[in-house]
Amino acid sequence: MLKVAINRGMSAAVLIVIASIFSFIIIAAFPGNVAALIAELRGGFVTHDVVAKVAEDYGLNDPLPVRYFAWVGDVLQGDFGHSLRTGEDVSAAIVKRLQATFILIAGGITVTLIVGVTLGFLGAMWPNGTVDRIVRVIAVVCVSVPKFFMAAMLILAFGVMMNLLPTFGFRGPLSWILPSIAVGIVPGALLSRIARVALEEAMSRPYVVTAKSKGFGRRRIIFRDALPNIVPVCLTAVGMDIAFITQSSLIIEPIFSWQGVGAYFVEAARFRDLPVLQSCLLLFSVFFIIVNLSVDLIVMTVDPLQRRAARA
Amino acid sequence: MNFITRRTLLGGTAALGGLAALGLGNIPAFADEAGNKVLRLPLARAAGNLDPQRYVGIFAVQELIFDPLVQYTRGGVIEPALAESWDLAEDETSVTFHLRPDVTFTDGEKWNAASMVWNLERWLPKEDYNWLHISNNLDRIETVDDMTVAIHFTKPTPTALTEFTYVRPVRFLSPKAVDADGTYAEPVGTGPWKIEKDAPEGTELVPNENYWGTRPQLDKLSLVVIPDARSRMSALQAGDIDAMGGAFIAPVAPQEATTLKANGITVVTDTGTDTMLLGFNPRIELFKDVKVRHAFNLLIDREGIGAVLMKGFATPTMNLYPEVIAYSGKRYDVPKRDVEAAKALLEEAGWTGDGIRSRDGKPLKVELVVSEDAVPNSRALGEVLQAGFAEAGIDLSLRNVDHAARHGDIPEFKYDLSLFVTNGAPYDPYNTLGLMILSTIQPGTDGKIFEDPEVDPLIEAALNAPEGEREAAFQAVLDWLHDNWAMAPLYHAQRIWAHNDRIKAFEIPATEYEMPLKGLAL
Repeated sequence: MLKVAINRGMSAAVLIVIASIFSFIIIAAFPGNVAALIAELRGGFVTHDVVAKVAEDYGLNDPLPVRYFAWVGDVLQGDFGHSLRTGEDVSAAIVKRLQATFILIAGGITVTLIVGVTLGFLGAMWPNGTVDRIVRVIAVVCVSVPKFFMAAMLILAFGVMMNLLPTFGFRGPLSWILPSIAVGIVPGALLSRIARVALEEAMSRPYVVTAKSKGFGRRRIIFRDALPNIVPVCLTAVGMDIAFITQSSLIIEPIFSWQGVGAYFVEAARFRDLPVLQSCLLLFSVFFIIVNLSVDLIVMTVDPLQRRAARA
Repeated sequence: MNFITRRTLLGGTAALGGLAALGLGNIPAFADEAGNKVLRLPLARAAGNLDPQRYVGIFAVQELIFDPLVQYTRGGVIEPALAESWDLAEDETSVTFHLRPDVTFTDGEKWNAASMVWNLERWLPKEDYNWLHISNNLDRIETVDDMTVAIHFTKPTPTALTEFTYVRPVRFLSPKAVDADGTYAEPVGTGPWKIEKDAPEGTELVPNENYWGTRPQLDKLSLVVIPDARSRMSALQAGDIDAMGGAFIAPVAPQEATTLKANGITVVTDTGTDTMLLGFNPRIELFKDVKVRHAFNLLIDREGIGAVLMKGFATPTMNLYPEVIAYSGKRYDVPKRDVEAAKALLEEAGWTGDGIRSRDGKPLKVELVVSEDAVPNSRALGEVLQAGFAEAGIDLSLRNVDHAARHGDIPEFKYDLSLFVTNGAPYDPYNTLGLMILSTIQPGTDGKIFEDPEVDPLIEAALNAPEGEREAAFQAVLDWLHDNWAMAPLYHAQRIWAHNDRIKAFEIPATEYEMPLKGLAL
């Protein structure tokens, strides 16, 4: 088990290095003159000479590998640089914004689990019946609607028309509800299909046939026998959902005016704020890798089959 | 022994999640909206670093905290502020400010000649600020007495008073609001408001109880960051904010204004102070021909653009400046779209043939750089122009770029056509002519709308004309540009604000760099 964990950890480290190279190069290779933007923010009437001087001062004329290694050197020492736009320390700014993003991810996962498991169970309880069909329609609709549209509709319905929830802002638990639904509903709908199919499959396994032959009811069989067996599948799906929800934060945070890492990234992209963009992208990549690694290890712990395979 | 079992792991995770949710449930609300006289306005982005000598923060927030020496009001009329009065030398080579007595910064520091000179010396003599004539022409700063300061220039500087109204870098910071090495530390000014709380989510301000002017009638101003325009509209309709608008605060697009109006929100408009223009790259052969520029001008349906694209929130124009700008000159007739006349002009210029025209085997293909980031609405506008030009055999393609790419390409003249917006109040009529048309000045990041050495002497004459001759001098430049079809002015967009019925009286401010607080009543 430990050996497997170490192996996975090493693969994750290699992935992080690759991610850092991509984070740097993708952002640095964008077309356009970053020096002009920096010069403009520093003040005054920006001429060609001023732009050239800024490019020199910020090392923007250096070859990409030189800039990459300088950046990695700083990052390894915990220095993510300073925002080109505001001059603030990027690591401090990211730390300030982590809470909102964490709440969004946690809220999104909660919604995902509630929607996914509930709809999945309803479908599995009465397979191919009316409930299952309705659940299927709801799932397909939820998956098909774009996130920004879903968010706008939620704001319109619960914020503007019913005036039940705040339309924007990160102001306590009430304000977390709509963003969490907006990010969690699509993965929830997907999870419901996964749970439904996995349950259906589990219900045809020999241990269920045995339980049925003993005269147990469908509900008891689902909860006692089938459910524990679909946990590994659902956990893997939830791992993917965390990645999906984190990616959704780029769209949902600005819509709900949450000052999280996603909104910070989007704002930085508009101003081509390289240190912020590179740091956020690296952070997202590392987060995805760690989430995947953790899910793998958790699945290994909760799934007796995998646990046994790892021991062997 | 296996400590981690499936049950302990799942149970533990659930318990941790529950604890985290309980612990994090008590995050304090950002805005305290319990008071009755709290005005809630949105900002499209955080107020940022408010150092008056840096160009990062939001103008309108800086303007609330830092006072000017003199205030710009409608039509370019200058009124007293931190300077109670002033004497402009007859030859306009110096201006003497008599400072308002009994004014203090919000940290208790006194406003006097010493604090004024300390502020000016931070930027006025520096090369970085030489885009301002008061900096470029500076000779010396003279402290006449404790409440009088004279600023001497090396040559006549007719723009001096207007430039002293600018928000940055011209405003005044408390000499105590800096670190030991003199770098800016916190936003402390003499203005009507002071910062109570500043965070990425927004900024809260409370009135400066010692303000020298009319004190704000509000208890608090809560500025909340809402980057998304649709979210701002929802927040306004739900009553979570009170108003939205202002080009650099929380812009309202014409379509959004129409929607808000239809939903019962009050929409207030005012004549804009800037102009949307189509600029011809002055360095390419095609547009050196005045007939071609004339033809392109005739192919634009300005009335249609104003009515349909701008939903009526724009005035079609052929003028460089709207009437509200000082010395903006007489109004020119807006030509009706005339495809036949345009075709004839193109024929005369040698661009002939069916379909896409050509000259010497070269097709008439031009590219318009559009950037929604830099010039909002430019993509839709580009598409309208594209359809209009096609009728006369011009193949117009659009190149979508972002802010950074536009700022790289435009100053280097890597475009055929581009959309420009004039600087507006309080910068015009001087800045657009002086920085974006005068060819002797290097192009800035916004590039050149037009350049021709022939018009330079006229511009120089207008920028340096003494008071009595200024109007005629500006008119001469504007006539030259108009007669030579130097550019294609399109429209003056209206300034749009929308507010809910919590606001009983509302007045759009003189410039886009101010909050609409004067004349506002809840």
